[in-house]
Amino acid sequence: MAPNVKEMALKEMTKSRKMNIGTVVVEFDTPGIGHILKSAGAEFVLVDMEYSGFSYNSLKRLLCYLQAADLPSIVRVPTSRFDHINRALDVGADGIMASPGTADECHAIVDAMKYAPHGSRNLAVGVALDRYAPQPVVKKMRAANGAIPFFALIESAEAVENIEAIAAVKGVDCLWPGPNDLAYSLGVPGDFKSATYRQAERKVVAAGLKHSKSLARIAGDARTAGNLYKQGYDILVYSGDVWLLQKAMHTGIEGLRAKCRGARRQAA
Amino acid sequence: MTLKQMTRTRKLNIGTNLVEFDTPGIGQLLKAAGMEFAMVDQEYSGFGYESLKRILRYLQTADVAAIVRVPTLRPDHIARALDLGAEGIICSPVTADDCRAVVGAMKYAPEGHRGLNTGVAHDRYTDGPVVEKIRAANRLTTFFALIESPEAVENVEEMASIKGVDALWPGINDLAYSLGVPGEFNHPKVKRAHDRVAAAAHKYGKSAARTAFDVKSGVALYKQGFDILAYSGDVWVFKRAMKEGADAIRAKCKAPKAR
Repeated sequence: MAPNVKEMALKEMTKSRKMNIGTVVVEFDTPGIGHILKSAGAEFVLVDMEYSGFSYNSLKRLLCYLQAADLPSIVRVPTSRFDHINRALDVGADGIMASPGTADECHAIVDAMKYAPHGSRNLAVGVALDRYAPQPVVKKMRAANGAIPFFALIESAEAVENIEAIAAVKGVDCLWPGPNDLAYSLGVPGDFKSATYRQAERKVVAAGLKHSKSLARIAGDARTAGNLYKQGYDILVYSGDVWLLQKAMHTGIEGLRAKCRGARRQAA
Repeated sequence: MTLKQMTRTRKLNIGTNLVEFDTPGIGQLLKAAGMEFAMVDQEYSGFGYESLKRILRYLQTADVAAIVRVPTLRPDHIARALDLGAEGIICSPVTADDCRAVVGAMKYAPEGHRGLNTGVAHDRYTDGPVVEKIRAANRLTTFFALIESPEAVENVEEMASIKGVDALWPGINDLAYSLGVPGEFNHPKVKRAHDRVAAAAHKYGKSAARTAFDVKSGVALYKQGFDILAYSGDVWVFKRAMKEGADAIRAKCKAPKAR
């Protein structure tokens, strides 16, 4: 049976301190993707534009596929540029993920995400972002400013250095260590067990807890996820579309091969 | 509301035809405009199954129910549309046997012989007991019989009596065409045939549905007992609104302008 998945807005997820599980989509721009992930129990989906090659056309379709299943979306924008953030929001992203290095960069991202007076996001009316249903403009601006969370991806030595200031920024809803890039930036690529890496991630977690921000991270397997949850992480991205397919296919094929060895009856 | 419910309420349900706009926002656009269903046309539009698969998701984003006008009565056309998540099927049977064949293609056993595949688009990729899914799908899928030839009108009462026929839908364009008076919707021959379809629907407790090309004819149809109305279609609504605006601006901008 499909698990009984709660439906919660993204902003609530960053406030609840309960476990919220999603995955990342880097490849499968296909109509069923929302329903497939929903029926597997995902509560949100991170759509990656940094590494995937997804354009805004694909993003617009993908966000509809997710909406078809009532799955909230976080969009990893390719850069922190104003236009990248605005365009993702205007086609209907429910949350933004970007990687600031300093508190000032956080302020700039928040500025791009929020309508005046809290920011300088462009105001479009009656398009994808409000589901083509024009509403009183002021009401809409207020609702959007309150509803769209910012996930600060921490993936550089500089960001770790500034983590206290980053965590203190009001518009930052969640701290999200990016292990791969962070280890790389710290000079210990791929070595997540090194003291350097572990210390850096601990610093991020401590800052999140201290400033009452949600903590999020990718978890490649259930055991890692369990540990992360105990440390205080509340938003976990379990693997990603291509890796899940690859792993499940591999497990199945290896299983078949293992059972299909040895002699068998031959046709006469 | 599901299409099946719409065919049972006898209250007014309004939708439109989609023949062109295969675009992510289409479901939310229609919803924001107050539409309760969309009839996705595959007969004239050129929409393939891949377009259909996308469009059905776009409609789901806004809970707009989808009727698919399949290109023919062929069981594979019907089954493929349903498997991609169509809730309703519209096609044009001529006889009661045609209707039975359509119902057979639409329903899983024992009511029909639709091919069984689960965990795909039509059940939104969910797990679950197959028997329950079969029952739910057989309840959900809704058949709109499009009546668009004199032969079909001759058989309309018998078609209306068939259990799996949920609604009768006079196809006024083709009906006038096949009666030899193309475009003459007010011709007595056309009116007679049209009204006979409406009467058959009422007699057998079936919903009466139709495309209404404008507000006036829509209201007249409602008064005649039609409860499911497709108001025009994406391209025509768009073109009309554009033309009205452009014409009005041109009309007001004729006077010599100040230099």
